[in-house]
Amino acid sequence: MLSRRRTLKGASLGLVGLLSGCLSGGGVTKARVVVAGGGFAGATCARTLAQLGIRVTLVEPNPVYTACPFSNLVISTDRPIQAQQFSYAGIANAGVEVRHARVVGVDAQRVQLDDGSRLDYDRLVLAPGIEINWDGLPGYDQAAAELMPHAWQAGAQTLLLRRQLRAMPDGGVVVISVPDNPYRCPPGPYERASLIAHYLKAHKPRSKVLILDAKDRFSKQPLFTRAWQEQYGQLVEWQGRSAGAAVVEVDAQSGAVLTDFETVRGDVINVIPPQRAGFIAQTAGAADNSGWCPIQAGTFESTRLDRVHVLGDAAIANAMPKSAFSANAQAKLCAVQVARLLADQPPQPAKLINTCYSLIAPEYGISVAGVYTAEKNTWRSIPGAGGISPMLQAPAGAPRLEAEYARAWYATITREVFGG
Amino acid sequence: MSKTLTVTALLTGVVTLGQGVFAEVVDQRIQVCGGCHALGAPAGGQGHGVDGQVQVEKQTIPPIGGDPEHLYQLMIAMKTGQRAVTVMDRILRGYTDAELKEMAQLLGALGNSGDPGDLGNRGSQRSQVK
Ligand SMILES: Cc1cc2nc3c(=O)[nH]c(=O)nc-3n(C[C@H](O)[C@H](O)[C@H](O)COP(=O)(O)OP(=O)(O)OC[C@H]3O[C@@H](n4cnc5c(N)ncnc54)[C@H](O)[C@@H]3O)c2cc1C
Repeated sequence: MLSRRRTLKGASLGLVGLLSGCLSGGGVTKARVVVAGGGFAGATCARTLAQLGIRVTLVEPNPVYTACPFSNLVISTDRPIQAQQFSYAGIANAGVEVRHARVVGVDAQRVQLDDGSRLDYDRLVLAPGIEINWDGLPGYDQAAAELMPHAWQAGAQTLLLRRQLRAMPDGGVVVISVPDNPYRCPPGPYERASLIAHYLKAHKPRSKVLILDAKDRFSKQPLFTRAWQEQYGQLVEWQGRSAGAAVVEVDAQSGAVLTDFETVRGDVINVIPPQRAGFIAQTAGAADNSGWCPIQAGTFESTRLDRVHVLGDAAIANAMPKSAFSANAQAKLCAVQVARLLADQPPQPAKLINTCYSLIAPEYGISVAGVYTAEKNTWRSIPGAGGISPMLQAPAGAPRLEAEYARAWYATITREVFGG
Repeated sequence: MSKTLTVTALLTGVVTLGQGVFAEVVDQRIQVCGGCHALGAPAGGQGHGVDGQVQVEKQTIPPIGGDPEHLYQLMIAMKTGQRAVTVMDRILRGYTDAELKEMAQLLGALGNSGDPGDLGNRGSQRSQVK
């Protein structure tokens, strides 16, 4: 069944399928890889492993994945949530066994699922993304998140924030609380502030976005700062840590956040809280005291657990940011390394790239890029490469083009990961 | 034993594009290009939403492939700023010319003919993508 599909697909691409040959010849490897988490990291890895002819089971509790990239456009009412949602049918068609369950336990041979079953593995890939660190910000618990959405895991939270924004009267204040590093998607809070300002400018022009940041510097800062001034004037205000703006406590009932100096009220409060690697990474012991998972850079193998690899937001990939682009790039390389390790071959070095687009407005894009190499067991940024969109001498039309490329990137990556 | 042999054969296939053998997984040195440029399939195109709903987005990032020498020259032109681009100059500076030559060979072997996007020749982009 599977081998037939693959042979035909290979043939239709005009490729000579050595791989298909292996599969139809019946010599499929007996090794089994289990991937926990079907986001950008896990789904990509599972898919690539299947392409490599490895028997792979993807365990993911949700029947539908809701992607975060571009979800800020959903909040600003510029995009339907359906454009963020993907089923796992394409991944199953690609030869991955998909199990809709949650991994609740890990030992050296098998994982335990919440439906009571167990899966043996030769290698395990943990890609659970983030969990909110509910102990990280006093006053911010699950109940508080229903009043002050984080919208940092896309879905119901995204829609809640959009509802609140729509219901807010003109002249209201939207407060966005931003945590200290590291967290998922470093430029994400500032893209969100931009797109909320875009919405307010059109619909509630007397309102304001106030960003309370636990940092003094942030991703693409010069580009954001200039664009806010140009596009939104007084509508966006950013306050950093040294101005005492770090939020240290929230009071969800009274609709206020507390900094060291004052109590700030907002009509809509978006608390982006501190985060850590998803719970299974904690339970399995893959995370260290920082809450994130240390890895051997070249293979993504956990430094704490044998034959367990960690990818995406959950992993400590040093200079690589926690982005969908990074997760996808890491996952493809990891799949090759896992296949090689299963075959007792040495892992292969490779450089990785990250490119993160942010939207100032739907037709105004900016980007940050980096090229990374695994040296001395660390993902390092290659000096002289990468950086943000040029401030000066930007080619005419670049902002509009970068917005277009952002959309094309999203279409390509989601098709690569979830398509078919 | 047979497990090891199979995977070994397969992995040899992965890295011996030059011998006309192509497994469906591309060489790890160019995998990462697929983050934006679809490899072995048209870029941009369609995503498959829930309930069979298909989202069509505008395609602006072309697939890459074609003649390796042409591809290499193109990458060098972007890397050195001779050709105006939005982001590829920043990315290409992370690679040595020798690495780019190798990557051009691997990308060329994928069989697309395409021209990475730029600001100058946008009109001609589509027509160059066969
Ligand atoms: C507002 C916003 C905007 C963003 N914009 C961009 C952008 O423009 N570009 C970009 O590159 N990145 C962007 N990101 C970042 C991007 O969303 C993440 O970096 C990316 O999703 C990380 O992928 P992941 O697979 O590690 O985690 P996730 O995508 O979160 O996937 C993890 C999956 O694991 C599953 N899971 C968790 N625990 C278990 C378990 N125990 N068992 C089984 N499954 C489990 C979850 O259900 C989930 O499906 C943005 C993020 C936000 C919040």
